[in-house]
Amino acid sequence: MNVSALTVLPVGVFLGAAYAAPLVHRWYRRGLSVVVLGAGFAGLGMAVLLAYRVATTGPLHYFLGGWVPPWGIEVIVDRWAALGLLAVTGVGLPVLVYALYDAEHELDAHVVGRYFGLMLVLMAAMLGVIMAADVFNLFVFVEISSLAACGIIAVKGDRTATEASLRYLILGALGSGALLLGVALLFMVTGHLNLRLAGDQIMTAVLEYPKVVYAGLGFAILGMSIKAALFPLHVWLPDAHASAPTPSSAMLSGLVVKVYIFGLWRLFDVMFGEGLMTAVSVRGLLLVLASLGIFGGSILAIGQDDLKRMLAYSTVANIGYVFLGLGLNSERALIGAALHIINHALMKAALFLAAGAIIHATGTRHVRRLAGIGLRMPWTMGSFTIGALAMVGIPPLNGFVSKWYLALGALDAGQPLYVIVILVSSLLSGLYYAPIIISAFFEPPRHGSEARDPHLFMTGPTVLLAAGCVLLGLFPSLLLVLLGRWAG
Amino acid sequence: MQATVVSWLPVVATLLPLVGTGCIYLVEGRSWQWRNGLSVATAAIAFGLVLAMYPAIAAGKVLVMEFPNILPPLGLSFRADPLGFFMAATMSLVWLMVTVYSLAYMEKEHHKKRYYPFLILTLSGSLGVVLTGDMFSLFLFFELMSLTAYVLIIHEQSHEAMKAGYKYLIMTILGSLALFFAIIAVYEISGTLIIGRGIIGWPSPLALGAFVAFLLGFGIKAGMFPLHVWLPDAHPVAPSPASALLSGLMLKTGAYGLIRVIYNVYGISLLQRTNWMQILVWLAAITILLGSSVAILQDDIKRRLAYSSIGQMGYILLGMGLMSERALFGAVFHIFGHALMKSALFLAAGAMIHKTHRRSIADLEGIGYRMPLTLGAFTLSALAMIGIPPLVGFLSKWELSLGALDAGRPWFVVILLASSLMNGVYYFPIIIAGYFSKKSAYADGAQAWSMADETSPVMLVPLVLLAAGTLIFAVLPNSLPYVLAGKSAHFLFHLGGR
Repeated sequence: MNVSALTVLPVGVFLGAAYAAPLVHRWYRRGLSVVVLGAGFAGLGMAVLLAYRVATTGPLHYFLGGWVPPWGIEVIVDRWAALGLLAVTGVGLPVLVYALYDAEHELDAHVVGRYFGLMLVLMAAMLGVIMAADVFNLFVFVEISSLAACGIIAVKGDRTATEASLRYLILGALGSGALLLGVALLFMVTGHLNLRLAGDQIMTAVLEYPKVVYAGLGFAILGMSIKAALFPLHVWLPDAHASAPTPSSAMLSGLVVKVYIFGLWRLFDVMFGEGLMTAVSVRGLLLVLASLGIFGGSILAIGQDDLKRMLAYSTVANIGYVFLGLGLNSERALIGAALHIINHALMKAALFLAAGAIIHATGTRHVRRLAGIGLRMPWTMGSFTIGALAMVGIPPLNGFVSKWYLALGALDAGQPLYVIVILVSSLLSGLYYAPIIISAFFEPPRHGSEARDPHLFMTGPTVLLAAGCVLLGLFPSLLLVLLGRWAG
Repeated sequence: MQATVVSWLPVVATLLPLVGTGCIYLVEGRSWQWRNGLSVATAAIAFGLVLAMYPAIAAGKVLVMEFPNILPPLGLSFRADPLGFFMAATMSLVWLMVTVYSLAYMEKEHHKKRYYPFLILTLSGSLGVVLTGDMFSLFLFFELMSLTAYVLIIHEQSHEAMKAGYKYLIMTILGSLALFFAIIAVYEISGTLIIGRGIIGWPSPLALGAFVAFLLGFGIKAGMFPLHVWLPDAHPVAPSPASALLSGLMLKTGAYGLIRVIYNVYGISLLQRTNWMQILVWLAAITILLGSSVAILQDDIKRRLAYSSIGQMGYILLGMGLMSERALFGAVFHIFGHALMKSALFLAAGAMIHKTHRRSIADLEGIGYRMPLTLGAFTLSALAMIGIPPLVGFLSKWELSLGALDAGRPWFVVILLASSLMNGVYYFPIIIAGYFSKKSAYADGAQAWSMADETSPVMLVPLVLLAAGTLIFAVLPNSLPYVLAGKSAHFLFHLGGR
């Protein structure tokens, strides 16, 4: 077992930066970007280093304070977690850069410091969720990330954002309550909080207290599913993601909802184990809900006029893909789900950042009033197009790769029906992305529109994320190396 | 088995237009002369590169090149066998002609900065379709070609163009998803996607599902009934050179894909054991009759040509579906013949529309007095289309009919003949009224033929060359396309893949 303190360091870096950001912003405004970028680059560097070490030498562990479980807290970075760390830090960094320039015109000057504090806390919490190896810390980090997420929605201060974040807070609190209840019930019957140790006990516990175990499992899954916006528990998502400031939307839609799936997967894999998962047929339920989410999200997205709301509904559909992979549970389906987490993070972040730039430049959020902006904002709209094509699953973009693995996984699991689900929803996503691209590039612009690509530090991250979509589409082996032996 | 040689030629021929697109995009801001020159040069060099493969092909070798590290575990692979080479040579030749024609046709058009890069980019996609060595790489370039063709279709940006383009785009996405399903199912069944000799071992429901999905995916592109609905809208609204490419070449990539599916993915031995091919054969028969009969009703000249394309694609689909070597020979040769004829027809129609701004057949009466050479080229290609000997259309119909008899299905000969009759019914009125009508306002009482209003030589030369090709390649003894088509059919039928 490899023990390394490097595992917890990224969480610490982001937490430290989170405390520093508001203070620095108050005393020396320009220092803010140094703090934010420093934390972002340091986090990314550490994630890359961790991923490299995990890929070469296997999972890394760390026991806080040197106490081993069952007394101490354990942190684990395996292949799955390394992928998550890369996704969060890799997508988070461009979003933070964008935020540094976007915050100037989207937020009041006096909240900027606090906003970055919350963003960095959120980053730390997401990393914590991904690497937590015990169920209580999992709960704590889930809770921190939910509250921070509420904060970065409400920070805008207008009526819709406040309302949306309040709704998110209430539903999120329900989810947290359910999760805590589930954790408590499982702790009661297994006597352990550490996932691995609890997992060892759970099959004995289920013989003695079946109802308690089932209730605990049900509550834990319910809680995580609310936070991960599994259909039909997604009702909070469209408002929250659409009304938040643009960098927040990108962060929430691209990363935050997916992080909870990491947590859920860990519960499935380590704690509940194959025996229990088959006994209660959770996966069958997940498949149904995921398919409903894929269709529901896509169909609702077609009906949206508001650009950001459309993107938010598209997220509901894409969460469905990831859950579909978990439900199918064949090796290639799981690889597909993992790839889609990272791929969708790139695409959706690129789309939201582009949408934010478009909304800022044109002053309209209406999808039918974007005629001709493709020629005025080529870089932004080009990135949007790449993101949208990746969403539809056009090769050689990264969305194609994850759909490829998901579809193969569905065939491996002997469920070709779900291949059709994936394909039909790809067509549906074509139906709502194509008109935007067409009117942006091939319709004459409206009079008086002086829209231009925004500042380099806003265009740059958007283009970078879109380039990531192309890169991971052409060379998925960059990630598959990590996933190679993970699923087996 | 054929000897394979590792060669960069298929890769370079495919990727050169891709690079050319970038160069055109970069220089077009500075000077339009450079842009035009580069466009023609790129198309010409691509043609040259394809021809450079000929010695190896003639020696019976297959050129291959593989890049397994891109998009693992599938990889990207390039391959040129007789069929691939034949298709690529046809495509790059016609593309060169059309690019030259575009120089004059597009001179007064808008959005030229968009037109040329996309014209050349689509060439890269089309060459990629026919020069790749596995179904996945084929699919990749098929997507590139289909999506970039959208930009050519909606070039005018008029309301009808946007509507037709949207229909095209949605059908294209539908088709590509069907292909995605088919390819993934084949991959699941056989664990490989190489263009080999029947990579699927035995019939299964999934294999049938994949076959139907292939028919759907490539059938949409090939304009097969009932998936042709986008075609009569999309082809006429595009600028005429683009229509020529769409009708003359890009439809054929759908047929090419199906040939690969039938002879290389499933293999004839598997398909002979099942009756799956009946789906294709009957749909092809309906496509022939529908395309030819609806064409009679069209008044817009380009729409009539578009419906005619549907009917002609039916011939090709029928030929590959009859499972006789001779019919396949006819189909492959008709791919070539129709590429020449239909692009010549569209270019001629484009020249007339360019000059007169009239698209209605009734308004084009008497056009022969003013544009005798253009109408002459039109006439030659139309006669070839009807199947008058000694033109290329006759040769392919001859082989197709013999193939139908070989397959023991004489009724399909009747369908072919009925369709030829209908071809005559819709092409002859244009020709006769064009040369002899005195009523037309445009002819303005003209009695003698004059060259005064003839279209510019830049447009005339490519279109006359293409039309002349329909005669030359049919009467030349040992004409190269004829030999190559026979070789391709033989190769597919007896040797298969590697």
